[in-house]
Amino acid sequence: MSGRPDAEVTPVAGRVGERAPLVEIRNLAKHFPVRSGLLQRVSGHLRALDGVDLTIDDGQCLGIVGESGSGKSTLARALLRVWPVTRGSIRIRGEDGAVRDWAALSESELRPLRRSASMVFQDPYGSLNPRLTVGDCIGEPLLIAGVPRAEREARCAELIAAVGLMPEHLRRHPHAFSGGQRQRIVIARALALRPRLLVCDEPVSALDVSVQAQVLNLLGELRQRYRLAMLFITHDLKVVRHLCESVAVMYAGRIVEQAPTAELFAAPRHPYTRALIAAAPSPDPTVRSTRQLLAGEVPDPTRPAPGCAFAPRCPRAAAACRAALPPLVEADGRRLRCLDPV
Amino acid sequence: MSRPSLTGWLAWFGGWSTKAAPAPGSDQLSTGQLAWRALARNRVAMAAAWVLGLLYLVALIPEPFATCAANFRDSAAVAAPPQPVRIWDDGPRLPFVRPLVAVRHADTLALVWHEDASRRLTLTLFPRGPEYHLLGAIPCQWRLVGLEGAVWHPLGTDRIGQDVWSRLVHGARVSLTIGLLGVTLSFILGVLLGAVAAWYGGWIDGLISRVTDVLISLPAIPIWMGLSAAVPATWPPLGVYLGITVVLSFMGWTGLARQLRARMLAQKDEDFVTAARLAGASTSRVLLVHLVPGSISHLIVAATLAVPGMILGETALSFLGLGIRPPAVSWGVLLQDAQNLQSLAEMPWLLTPALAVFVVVLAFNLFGDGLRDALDPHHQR
Amino acid sequence: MIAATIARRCLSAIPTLLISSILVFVIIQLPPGDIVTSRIQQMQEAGAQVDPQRIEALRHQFHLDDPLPIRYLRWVGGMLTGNLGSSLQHDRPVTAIIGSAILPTVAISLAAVVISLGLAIPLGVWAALRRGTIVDHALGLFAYAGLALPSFLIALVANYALFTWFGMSPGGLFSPEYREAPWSLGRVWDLLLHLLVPVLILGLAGVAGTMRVMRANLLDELRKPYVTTARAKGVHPVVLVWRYPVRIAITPIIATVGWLLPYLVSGSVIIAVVLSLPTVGPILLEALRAQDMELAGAIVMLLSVLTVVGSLVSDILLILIDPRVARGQTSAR
Ligand SMILES: Nc1ncnc2c1ncn2[C@@H]1O[C@H](COP(=O)(O)OP(=O)(O)OP(=O)(O)O)[C@@H](O)[C@H]1O
Ligand code: SF4
Ligand SMILES: [Mg+2]
Repeated sequence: MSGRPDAEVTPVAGRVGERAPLVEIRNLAKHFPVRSGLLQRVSGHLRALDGVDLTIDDGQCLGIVGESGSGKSTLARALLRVWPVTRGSIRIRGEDGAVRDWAALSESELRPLRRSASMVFQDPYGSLNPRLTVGDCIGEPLLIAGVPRAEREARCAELIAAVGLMPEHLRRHPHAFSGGQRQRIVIARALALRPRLLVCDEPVSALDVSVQAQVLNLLGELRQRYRLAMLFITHDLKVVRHLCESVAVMYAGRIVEQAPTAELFAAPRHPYTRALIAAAPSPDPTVRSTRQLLAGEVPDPTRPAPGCAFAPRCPRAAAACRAALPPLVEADGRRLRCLDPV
Repeated sequence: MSRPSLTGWLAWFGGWSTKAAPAPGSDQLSTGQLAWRALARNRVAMAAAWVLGLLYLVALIPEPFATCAANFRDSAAVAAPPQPVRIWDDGPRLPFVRPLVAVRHADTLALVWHEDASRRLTLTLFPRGPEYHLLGAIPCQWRLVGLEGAVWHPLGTDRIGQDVWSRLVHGARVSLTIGLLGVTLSFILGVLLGAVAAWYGGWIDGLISRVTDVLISLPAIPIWMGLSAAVPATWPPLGVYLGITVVLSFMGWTGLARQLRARMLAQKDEDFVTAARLAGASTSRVLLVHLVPGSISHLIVAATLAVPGMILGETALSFLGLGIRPPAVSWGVLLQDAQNLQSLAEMPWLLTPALAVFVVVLAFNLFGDGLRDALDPHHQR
Repeated sequence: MIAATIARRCLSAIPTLLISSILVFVIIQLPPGDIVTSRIQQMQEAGAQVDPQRIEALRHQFHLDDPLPIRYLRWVGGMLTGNLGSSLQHDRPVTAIIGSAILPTVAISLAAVVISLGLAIPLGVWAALRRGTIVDHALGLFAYAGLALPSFLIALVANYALFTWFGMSPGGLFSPEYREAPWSLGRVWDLLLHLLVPVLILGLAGVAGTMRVMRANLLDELRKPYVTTARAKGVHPVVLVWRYPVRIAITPIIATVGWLLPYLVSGSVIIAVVLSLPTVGPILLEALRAQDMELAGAIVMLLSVLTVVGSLVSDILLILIDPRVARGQTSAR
């Protein structure tokens, strides 16, 4: 498999002083087969991810927002190659500085590279093996990487302290911890091998509101300390504002708008982004009246229409919008996929 | 069919707690240790476990528990009634039994045995009798309890003077071990096929699942009967025993395979499995550290609950004359004698093997339920 | 959608029958010896000399010299055209031997299903309405014992109890005085009495299991808001429970009775032996003892077909009742 032309190793261009891209995703797609009919044959494909381009720089925090089913988790998992992807490339700069296309690598080729990226999951109750101690959970990546026992224990103690828990917690089992504590443990595990990239898929949405802020602050802190790049997926626009430098908005498996956080919130240009921001609950109850609610159904991802996927719900939709897919246009450091932006 | 959990009802009757709140300090324990604690606190399950332990001890070394050899014919006690232990005869006595005497029946002129109410035979500990070999090797003479110089028939004798209790005790070896051995075979088959189906998916999964579904939807007993008829009558007893075990496991693995497959499929997409893969874990590590242990505890429960079915299968087959064959003894073989209504009416004690089967089946169910409750506290009642 | 699901379910019965037919064919082939070896044995016992050519001719006559797959196909083909082979032991076509036993077999299994439901549903409703009381717990205990007690042991004990206490021999379907009598009310009554015991014993495990499901379903249903609303409106409690909740709780049970069939058919074989009922059970046992494998195989196949068809019917019922199954949101099993 390593003989494939697109799997070649490219040396990094040394643009000193500038942020070099850590991850470059091009035209990434993930389609899930849909089975139906008499013999359960594959009758179609669910396009959970349909041509995504993204760049994450070293140390950058990129937020991904979008409503449920827009393909955010699929993006996270495709990026880390949880399963093979349908098409596209995922070029990631490794520890050795070489850039490889993860999309073209086999599972066994990927294994030694995986340490440069890790993930924090949404459900803190499902992401720790209930049969292992916390120490075993955090130490598993180290164990797999062949770190000797003594060093492993020292690193575990260091990590557990870094996420604000006690060394004696290492001997306990996950069931003894609250959701917030578990998420800290998951973060410790994710950081065990000092990755360059941390993918967070709604890391706090399953937690009590009271502990959400603590975990978010911890993530912010650790990001500074370890100079982590982050792909941060969330529903909560407030969190994005607080944590991310840039935000990409996803709709129906595609990116429809991306801009630096402040600019996006100050001047959303895509009608869907506007609706999303308007629909977000505001801390000020008097603003409620101005909220523009999203009407209409999410399109069926197994039967995509030819044009803009947002057209059925878009107040500005025109015939041209339904004819062909609007391209993702880049201008002024922003990207936008709309024929008639605001 | 859903299986009920008796512990729930017993908890109501006895005010017994089957599940207590975790004790302080329990957060240091693994789920396995917690499960053990929960099990140890479940008195019904523990009682069942003790009963099973005792029964399997008897199955391992039946001879000391018996009062004579399984095929010993006591010509001085044919179709004799049980000799219960008594402690009262004009006042408290050491435990004793009544000797048996034969009287000729006025009409049929047949000899009829009954207890002689005028005499006492005091029971002794470790009486000596004819030599036998413990575990087939260690020569030994004593029995646990019995009579010096006579054979005690605690559960009476059959039509040819064989002691029902001793046959019951000796039959435990076949009847109890066949269940365990059969489930072990089923377990191996089930784990293998279930894991292969879940891990590889595709047509392999399709084929295994299909065969599993078919075997589950077929009536087990007729097929058992058909297969066991193929075990040649000329085989030695051990061969027949193994043959019947294979026949029983042939239908038994399906449930286990199905459960393992379902559990593994459910866990395959768990985040902690993904996390392990993202940490670079190899396939074997994912399987052995993360997938199988999480499924095996459920499988052990399922296996425990499958043992009684196997025991019943052996009993039924031997009862029908298609399983273990005399002179080998098993509970099913003993029950053959209970098939004839006429002799049953004369000798109701021939039904005691049915009671033994019932006790074992119940004990396994209770223990299995306790195990399940302990391992899976969220199990829906 | 629904039609497609039903069609798929029907199609899926074909591989089931295929696999079970292979299984039965293997069962038939497993024991050493066949019809020819036993014929030869008979002839030799009668003192006749059997030369190899005669053996060859006989083997050819019974197609035993064909390869196994061909013989399997011939056997399946025979079954499809109603020819189940012939019995060694009786020297008669299998169909003639089991023909008269099929009706009682099906009747007893069906009656057991009816009894299971007829008892289990009211008992389940009772337990649910008296939840947490002694009635509930007693019924629960009964369900547990019913599932743990093997039906053939119950049959043995019942046999003994009826015989010693009532002097009644529950064997057979008729008392001696009615055995040869023409049909009359008395004979029907006698038949019903004799059917009652085996059917009750057979149905017990089904009662126990179904009762628990009914109780759980009804409890779930009673928690729903519409029940609370109706109660607040002052609907009479009996009407309240029987009008909707019971009906809704019953449907999945009615539809899944087919799943009881493997247990019932299994149980009926051995109970029939204990109680000497004129079903295929005792015929099967006798055939197996005599190594009359064509007959035995035909009966095992017949019983398998019975369960497969029963499950099929009940699955189709389930699909008709609960369209979610057709849409694949919940699996049929
Ligand atoms: N393993 C899978 N098999 C089939 N379809 C899938 C799978 N995973 C996701 N999908 C489908 O892909 C689409 C996108 O799902 P995804 O989980 O990426 O959405 P999301 O944006 O993360 O939503 P949420 O906010 O609810 O987490 C959904 O329609 C989902 O049903
Ligand atoms: S392209 Fe047209 S339909 Fe799509 S968002 Fe823009 S205006 Fe609306
Ligand atoms: Mg998601």
